Amino acid sequence: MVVTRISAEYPLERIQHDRPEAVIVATLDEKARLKLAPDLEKLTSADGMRILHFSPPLSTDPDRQGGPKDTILH
Amino acid sequence: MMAPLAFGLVAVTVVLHGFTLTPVARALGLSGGDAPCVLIVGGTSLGTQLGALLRDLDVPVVISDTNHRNLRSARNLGVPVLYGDVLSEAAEHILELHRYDHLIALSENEAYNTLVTTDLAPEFGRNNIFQLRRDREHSSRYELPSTLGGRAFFWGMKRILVVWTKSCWIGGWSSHGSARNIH
Repeated sequence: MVVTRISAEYPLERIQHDRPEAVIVATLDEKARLKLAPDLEKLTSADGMRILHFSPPLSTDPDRQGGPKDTILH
Repeated sequence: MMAPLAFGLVAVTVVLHGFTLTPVARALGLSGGDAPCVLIVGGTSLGTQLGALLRDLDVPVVISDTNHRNLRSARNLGVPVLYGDVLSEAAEHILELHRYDHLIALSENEAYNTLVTTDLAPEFGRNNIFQLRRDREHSSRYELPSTLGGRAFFWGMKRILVVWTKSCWIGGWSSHGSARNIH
């Protein structure tokens, strides 16, 4: 399981592009509000939001190498 | 003269308490703060990983399991655990369930997950109580009434195994553990 922080330079769309197989489990926004999977159908990109997801390792595709430094937290 | 005075006194007291109780509780360290507290039932790999991640994100979390051995990984990772049945009266006193905002039942036993989420739904509220989606819940023979069980947390383990196996097959994955780690 991986935590990725959404930012202006690494938005949600980019995560979905880099990790199309990701299964999003929960999100935690900057105000420490936790949302779990059933409430994430309308997931919107918000700066600083952290996304907990099940993801396989990044592919070897050089165009899909994940976010900038400190974006992937764990 | 006494009636308006009494009414005024009650109104002032209620308003004053309403506005000052939370800040005072926070100042005295008696409040849980803003972070949502999460109770995970089941020390499976999934529960342990989720608990460890939430703990790393400063979300107060406790993992409970009736099997001491299932909690070994969580203990090794420093995640708070409760050895015992979350439905017991003792657990209610130890955990102080009112402190928790979310309950996620992730044990390997679907029936136990359903029992826990059904029993504790009134305490947490049905919106805040989750369990692993049951594998055969869409079959009419296995479908339960809406008053039983929690909200489906997300696809069951089969979905994750499919995703992971697929990526392993396509992406040449080797280093990040394996699907066998998921119970």
